[in-house]
Amino acid sequence: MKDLMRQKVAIQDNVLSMLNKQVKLEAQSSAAYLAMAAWCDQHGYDHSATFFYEQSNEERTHMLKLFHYISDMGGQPTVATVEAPQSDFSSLREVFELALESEINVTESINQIVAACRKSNDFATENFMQWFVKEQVEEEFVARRALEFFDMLNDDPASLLIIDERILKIKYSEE
Amino acid sequence: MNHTIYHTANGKLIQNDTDNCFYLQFKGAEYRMAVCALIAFKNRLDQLNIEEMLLSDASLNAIEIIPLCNREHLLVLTLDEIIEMKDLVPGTLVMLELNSIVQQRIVRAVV
Repeated sequence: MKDLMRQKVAIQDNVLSMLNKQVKLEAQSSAAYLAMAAWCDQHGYDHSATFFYEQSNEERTHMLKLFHYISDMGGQPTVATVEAPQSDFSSLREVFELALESEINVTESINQIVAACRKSNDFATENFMQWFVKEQVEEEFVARRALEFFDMLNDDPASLLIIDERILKIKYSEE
Repeated sequence: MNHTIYHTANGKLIQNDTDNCFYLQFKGAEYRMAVCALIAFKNRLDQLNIEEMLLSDASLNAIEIIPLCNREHLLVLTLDEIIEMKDLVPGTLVMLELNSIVQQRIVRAVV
């Protein structure tokens, strides 16, 4: 009997479904960052707003990268319903704390996909996912470094402006 | 050539090697499905939450309309039928995975 499924689809069903869940998670993150950007804009944190708009775009790019991969491998990418994200925050610090929490969540989800790929000898998808593993190191670093600013400086308005100005300068370098 | 992959009380999923597609036979009707259509159908079934449907007030009359990928057919399924489909389609995929493993061990990697 022909191996029809393998001829048409390069990834196993369980990995495929995990990738589709990741599509949803990235879409959800993109929406959450957009809400954070809007809040920062409204409260005069211009640089943080720019930062979160960029993050939102980045998450959408990640979502599309996964989407194309699923499709290219013969799977069916699903357009997920995104729930309304939290749009009101008590402080700029809370915004960054939630951003870090979201990144940790994404990292853990990516790690689970890599683990599933290893279990089913899906080295192509594992290789593809390594890009995300690396990306998450950077994403978590940036959110964590931003929170360090809050620890270093007080939460008074002058300090918040200094923090806001430094947000866009945070860059991760492996060197 | 037809191969029955998996069957339940009222349904059967068959792979046809000549057409390179699957045939779902369910309660006297037959539906032709390409591989992508079968996967799409499984995705739709996965999204149906049986527990939620059972607990819902309208569960006695619960039906779900599932269009097949090529839009040639609409499947109107009752709760019982959905439960049976949720056995038939994933069961088929498990058997196909087994077939893949056999192919991999015996047919492909002859070393």
